[in-house]
Amino acid sequence: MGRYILKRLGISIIVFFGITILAYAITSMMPGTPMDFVVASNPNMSAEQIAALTEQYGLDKPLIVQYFSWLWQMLHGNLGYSYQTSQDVFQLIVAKLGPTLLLTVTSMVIALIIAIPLGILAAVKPKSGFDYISSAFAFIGNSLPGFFFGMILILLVSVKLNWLPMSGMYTMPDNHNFADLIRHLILPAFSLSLQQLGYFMRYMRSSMIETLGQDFIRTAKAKGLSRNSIIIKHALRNSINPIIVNIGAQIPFLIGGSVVIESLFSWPGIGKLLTTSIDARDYPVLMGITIFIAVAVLIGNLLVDIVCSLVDPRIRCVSEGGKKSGK
Amino acid sequence: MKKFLALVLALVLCFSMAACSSEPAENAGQDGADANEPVVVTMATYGEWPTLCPLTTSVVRGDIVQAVMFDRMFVSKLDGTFEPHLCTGYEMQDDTTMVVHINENAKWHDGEPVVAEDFVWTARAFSNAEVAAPRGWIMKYLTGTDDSSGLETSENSVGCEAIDEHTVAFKFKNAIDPEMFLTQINQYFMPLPSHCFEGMTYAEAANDTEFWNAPIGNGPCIYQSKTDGERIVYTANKDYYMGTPDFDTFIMRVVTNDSMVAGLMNGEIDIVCGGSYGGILSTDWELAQAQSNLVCESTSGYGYALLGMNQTQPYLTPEVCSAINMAIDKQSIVDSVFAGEAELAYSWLPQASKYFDSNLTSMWKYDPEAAKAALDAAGFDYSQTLNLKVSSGSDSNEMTALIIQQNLKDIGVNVEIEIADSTAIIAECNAGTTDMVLMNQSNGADPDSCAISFDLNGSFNFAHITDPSWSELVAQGAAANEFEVRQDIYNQLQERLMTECPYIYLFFSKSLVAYNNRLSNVDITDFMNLEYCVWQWEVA
Repeated sequence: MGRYILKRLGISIIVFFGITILAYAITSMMPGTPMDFVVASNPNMSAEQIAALTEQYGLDKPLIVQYFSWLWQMLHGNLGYSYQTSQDVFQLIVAKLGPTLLLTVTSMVIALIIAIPLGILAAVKPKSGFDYISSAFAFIGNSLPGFFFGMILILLVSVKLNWLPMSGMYTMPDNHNFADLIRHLILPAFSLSLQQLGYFMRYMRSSMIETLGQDFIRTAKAKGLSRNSIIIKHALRNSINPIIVNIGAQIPFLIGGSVVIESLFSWPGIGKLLTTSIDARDYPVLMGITIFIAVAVLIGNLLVDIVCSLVDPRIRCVSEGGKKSGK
Repeated sequence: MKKFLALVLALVLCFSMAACSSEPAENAGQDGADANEPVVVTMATYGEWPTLCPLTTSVVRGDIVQAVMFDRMFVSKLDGTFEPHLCTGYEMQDDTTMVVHINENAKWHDGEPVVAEDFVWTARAFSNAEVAAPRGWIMKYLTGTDDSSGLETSENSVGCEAIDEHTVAFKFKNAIDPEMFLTQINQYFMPLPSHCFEGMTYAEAANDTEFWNAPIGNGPCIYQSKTDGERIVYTANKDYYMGTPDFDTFIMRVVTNDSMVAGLMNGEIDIVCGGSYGGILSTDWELAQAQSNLVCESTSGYGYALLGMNQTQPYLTPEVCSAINMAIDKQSIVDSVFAGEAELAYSWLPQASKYFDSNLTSMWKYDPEAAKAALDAAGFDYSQTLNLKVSSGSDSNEMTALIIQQNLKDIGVNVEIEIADSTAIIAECNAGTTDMVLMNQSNGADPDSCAISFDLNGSFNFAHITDPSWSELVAQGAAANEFEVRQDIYNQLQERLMTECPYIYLFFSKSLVAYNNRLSNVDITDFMNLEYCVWQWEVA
């Protein structure tokens, strides 16, 4: 098991450096430079001021030099300073990370809490009315863009019914009231969870149907185990693996989706910071966010691999088998 | 399974109870609210502010949140005149010295008086090389500064001096029109509390995180707290020298333009900033007007859309550009894209400007047949396709581009629309790869604001003008200090513009503002200049 984790960790580190190279190259290839944005905001800036800023940002150096300079600083824990605000990028991202994590984790939890029971019930009674309705619900969830669902929620829940606030995170920034936070969180979290919900529900249903048709389930039935016991203790444990694997795979989509949802609901997270930074070609912030997302995805996938091997002994056996054959 | 379902139900119940446990404080102060509840007014703006420091701000989204905290010298009116604000008045001591008088009642939020030394300190900070203020160029008219960057030529050399505790002198390099100077400096020059930065260099002061996280200003609103990128909460400055605000708390919130009307409808937002910084979209204007709880008003401004015609392309001759100008149905754009809430543009100056050349209105008319004949006479090659670059993020721009494409198709000119974000568009313009570019600009009341477009080295010379006679005219206009002389020069410039069409001006879009009817005495006329005058608002 330890060797398995180390191997996955080694691959993750290599992938991480590959991501930094690709991200830096792609960011630098975007049409327009930070100076174009600065000049667009301040058309009266003199050529000398523009040249001084270009030098200050290191944009006058070749791309490869810029990359290694950034990498060296990053390895020393310095992600640089924002071109827009002159703030430390690490601090800037950390300040925004909490709201984004809260939003994405909540939406993931909502999606799983609803999708897993619905998927199980649909699988237990396949081709029933409930199955058709829940499948239709899953397809709608999958195909409806989050921002559109969000706008519908704003219109219905905020504007027509006036039950919940339509945007923001707290009513008063210096009064962090939990109930107030929940009130502000519900609409963006549900908007973001919709697509995940449909996705996980379909996965759960198909995985459960497959498991329920297997021999060990028939054996359990023959032994006279109760239906609930068969479903929860035997079928669910064997069906949950695809869901766990896909939680890791969904992290980048979740963060991608949060960019739009955060803008729509004025949620003060990384997504909004990302869009502003793209507009301004704020390379240090863009790279900083990319690093955070890459690390989140790599750690997420690593954790998923570990959890999968714990939940499903077969994966552990393959890993140990590989170790033995390696000897 | 039952335990799992019970857990789910318990969680849902907890969330529901939490969600329903308290009424939103945003609505405090509205109808039916407790008399002891603080009166809260919430204003919506579109963009996230990068910093609260006027010295290091480079974007309007920063100016908006600072405007209620830090006072400017004068209230800048739409017609180009100035009314007293932090300064009670100004006079020209001689051709090159302007004296401004500070309101003696003005105080910083910590109780210290606003004095001339604060003006001098701020001017020196703006022109200090280590501060690298993006708006440092506003100092370029003053003695002791670089002609282009506005940076001081030697330590503290900028021509701003304290005459006495409440009088400041600005010393110019040459005789200039004082209104031109004020138009440019008043927008960005917000005096800062020099006593808070004692013992610091200007650069240290500009980057003093502790201060700028909770700045001390002198405006009608006192900083209280913020959620970065989402909202700033201010308390009313009850000792404000211009009048006591009628609210207790003022909140500036970042809300997408798409959600502005929804926020106004449910009472979360009381008023919007207007203009491109957070106005009502023209597509939502009818909906906003239909709401009984909203007052909807529109006002003219200096924000316009133009087509930059790349003069380095051999096929875009003055004759061809002029024909294209005649072929565009500007009135149709105003009517269909803006529901009439825009004005036809003939130059970079709106018709209300005292520098607008009234002859222009008879020099242009929509005439596709004449345009086609002019193109034929110019030997235009109809087989080519012109590219039209449009910046993304604005439905009105994209709809305008479609109308232009159709108008030009009607006279046989093929146009391909390419949409990209504004930074990418500017990069393409600078590279000279565009044929036509649709841009939005917002200049101030002074006609010299056109310099960035006509000067050969201007940052917004999207037409790639290479004829130095344009720059010479612009320089003459800036150097003249008598109205009649300047008017004559700018008339020449506008008429030449109409003939050669390096830029085709399309429309001046109006600022669409809506506010809750519990607010009154709101004058939106100068919102485009970020003059909100919140101390005058009355809250029911």
